[in-house]
Amino acid sequence: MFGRKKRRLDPLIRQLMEWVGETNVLYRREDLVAYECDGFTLKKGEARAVVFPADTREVAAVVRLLHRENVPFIARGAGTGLSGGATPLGGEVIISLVKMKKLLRVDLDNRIAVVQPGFVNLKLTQSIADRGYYYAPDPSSQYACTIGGNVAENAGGAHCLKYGVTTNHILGAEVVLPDGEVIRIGDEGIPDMPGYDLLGLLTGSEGTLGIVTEITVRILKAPQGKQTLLAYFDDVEEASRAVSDIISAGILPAALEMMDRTAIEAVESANFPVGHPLDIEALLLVEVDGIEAGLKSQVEDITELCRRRNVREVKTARDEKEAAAWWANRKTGFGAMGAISPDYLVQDGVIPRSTLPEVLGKIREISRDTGLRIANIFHAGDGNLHPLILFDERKPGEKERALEAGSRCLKVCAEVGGTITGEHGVGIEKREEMRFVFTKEEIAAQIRLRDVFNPGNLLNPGKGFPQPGRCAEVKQEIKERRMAEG
Amino acid sequence: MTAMALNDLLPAERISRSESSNPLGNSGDWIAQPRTENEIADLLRHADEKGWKVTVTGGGSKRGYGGLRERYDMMLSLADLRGVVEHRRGDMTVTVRAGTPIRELADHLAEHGQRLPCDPRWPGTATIGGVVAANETGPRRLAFGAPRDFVLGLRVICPDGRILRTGGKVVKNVAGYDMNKLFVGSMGTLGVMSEITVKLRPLPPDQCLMYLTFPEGSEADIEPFLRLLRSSTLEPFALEVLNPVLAEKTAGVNRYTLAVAFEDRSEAVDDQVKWVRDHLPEGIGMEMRRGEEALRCWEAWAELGPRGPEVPDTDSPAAAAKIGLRSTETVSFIREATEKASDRGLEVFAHGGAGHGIARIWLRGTREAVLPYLAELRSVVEERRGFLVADHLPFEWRKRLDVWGNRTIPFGLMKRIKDSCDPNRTLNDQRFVGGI
Repeated sequence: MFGRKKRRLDPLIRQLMEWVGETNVLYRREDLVAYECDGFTLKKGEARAVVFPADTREVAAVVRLLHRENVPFIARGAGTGLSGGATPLGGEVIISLVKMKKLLRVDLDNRIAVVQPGFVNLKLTQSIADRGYYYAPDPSSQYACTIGGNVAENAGGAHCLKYGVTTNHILGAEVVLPDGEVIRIGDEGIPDMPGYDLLGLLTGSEGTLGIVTEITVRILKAPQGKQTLLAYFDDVEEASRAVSDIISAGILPAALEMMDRTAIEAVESANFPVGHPLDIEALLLVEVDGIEAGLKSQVEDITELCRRRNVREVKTARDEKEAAAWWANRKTGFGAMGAISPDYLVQDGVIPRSTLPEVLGKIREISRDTGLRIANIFHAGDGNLHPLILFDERKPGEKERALEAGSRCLKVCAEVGGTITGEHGVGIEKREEMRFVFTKEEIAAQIRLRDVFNPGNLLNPGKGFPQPGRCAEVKQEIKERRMAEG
Repeated sequence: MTAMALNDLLPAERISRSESSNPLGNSGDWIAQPRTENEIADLLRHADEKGWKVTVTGGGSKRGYGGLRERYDMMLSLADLRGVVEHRRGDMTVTVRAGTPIRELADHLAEHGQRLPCDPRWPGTATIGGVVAANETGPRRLAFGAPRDFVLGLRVICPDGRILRTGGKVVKNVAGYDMNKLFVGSMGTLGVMSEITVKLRPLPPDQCLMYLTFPEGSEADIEPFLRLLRSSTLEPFALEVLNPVLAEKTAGVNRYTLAVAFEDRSEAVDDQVKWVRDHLPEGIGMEMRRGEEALRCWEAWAELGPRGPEVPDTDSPAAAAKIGLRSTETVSFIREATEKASDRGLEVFAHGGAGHGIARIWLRGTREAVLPYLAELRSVVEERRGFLVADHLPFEWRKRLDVWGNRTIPFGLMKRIKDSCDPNRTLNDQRFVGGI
């Protein structure tokens, strides 16, 4: 009976099973549902199968097979991405790297660690914290997201202002190219290997140039001291100007975060309230770190700069516990929107810091025009905005209005000399918005680069770039939606 | 190729016939000095169509760095393409033309309390374009990172004359591929950068540079202290091991020396200096330069090695190399490099970053003495999975020693990148790894 069942299987599934074992392939419709999207849930598709390779050899074998059979495929980590980079468009085989989750080596003297792609971001810091070290990139999803996924997306986090994003912390990688060839780049963690910066090109390529199967990262010594401040403002513009003042004064905080009134309402209604006043217009969460002796005067300077911008109250965290509570309140901010809205869409524009007041004003206009509330939680020090557009998918037309509002926010960012994504990636979501920042020729140049690595475009097709047949696709989508809605 | 053709593209006074020859090679039959991006585009398009070979130069400090052609048809000099385009002080970013010398940019930024986080060699000559094209760094890389870390955006002219923008002007950006990485460190083989946008850092409120001199200079002598320092929570900006002849030049002591630098608020600098004093083993000499004095030491340091524009001594020309290693191997490497040189009757200047793993050496000597030395050193380094790139050699020598080394790298992919960006091999042909 088993034999007969197997014989009816899609021959490709059978071949995949031969490489990774029967239990490591999902192919039944009900098993594939969990893989129909990532953290960007507004677009879904059905994969042909999901495979769970155990090592590089299996990844390479699977890729060679799919390449030979001309079947598209996607690498996937924890699926926490926010732009649909790991979402199938239909018919792809998903190569899940969650079983490749080992910490392979830590070399504290040379300050490097070698991990498999499925190793969870936060676990790295947890594994070395007792010896006083940590891994700097800290996306809000760090308790779940994998370092492989971080490389694909060039993930950021709250502490990029001082410490940089993922690309600044990746020193080497083993990579399976889309035809199954395995290459190693900078594998001993030695920088500046002769040749083009393949590692830099792969990082942030949203899984379209290669699949990383081993990653060498830089680890840092935890700072000697840390001070965390909260500043409450009655005026968003004053808060924005305080941000610029702090940076202009030559202070380089480890993090400089801002939340507006709507965002504060949400975090205070959610799981980690810390008692922020609900009648303020904005708060700044500032962290300075480094040599203990130098922190006191930095805290004083920041406090004074906030006072000059008519801050209502500035306070310094009494201890690590209080600072941790403030951070938990901030880091769970996106999810907290669930407490005040059935659905939300998060955007990820970046602007020159100095244009913050102007841009926040324009986002308020977009909110008025579309009739949707927009909360702002963002990395103010980097100028990386996260407008959270609140909507109710059950109300007809709201989802579309939310998407439109999101796109308009990005347009505003592009118009002031910024960009459409600072850390979430283009994925499916922002493919068309690429045109806000790049010319046709510049997009073509990027696609030519993709063709060098991924000539058949089998690896994660349809992501990251505007679609040529966009008009037809939109019409089709509208038609499908109408049919679904009956 | 004729001057006639070029005359249509540039005013006559900005086209010149080049000198007959230069021992460093990488010369051009004609030198063109464009002042605008469009002029560069016209020149390149023309060259690409006619099958001319073009080399690109800024201050000329890297003339001896790579290249298997003595001459190109045209040398594109960006020396006239200079100046700040836009300095957004509040955003801590600056957009600058590629031919701007590093010092000119640094002076401008310093007036506003800011700096480029980069301390490359010969800042008066080297241009931002050259530093970015070579991904050049200095001793303070430990805190600064490299150009690949601070370049935010570029304007690039492709060999066929297309002008592309890569990256952007903001400090975080993941829209599309990180195309900046294609050009940073690519030795001008894929496109000509005309404008560069970089992330800036504030000037430090205070700084110091400590020279710690070790009588033995052995690993056993230096390593324990270094390990203690590395595992501390101190935040050194530089942690360079110097061999005795270099230490004599910089610190005035003919001993293996560890240069440790701190930059921070005064209280924090004081605190770290105190830590070093408290933990310094007995018998170790210490000299300290503070504030302006430290700054002047760094300035002097940057001028030490050989550079392109100098007419080389033909009997005993200069050679230099950049070495990449695991940082824990720095001390042993500096010692080995010094001893192996002395075995051959050569005198080498050497320093290496015990926190970042990039070392530099330079020396003078005959070809017969220097090339075997570099080859021997390279085999030592490559055995440890590092690399040695000879980044300053006379042209004739480069034909005998592969400047880029023997490490197996994913060359096929790199070749395809070159073919995709510059199919006619117009730009800096054979200047880069594997003859790219």
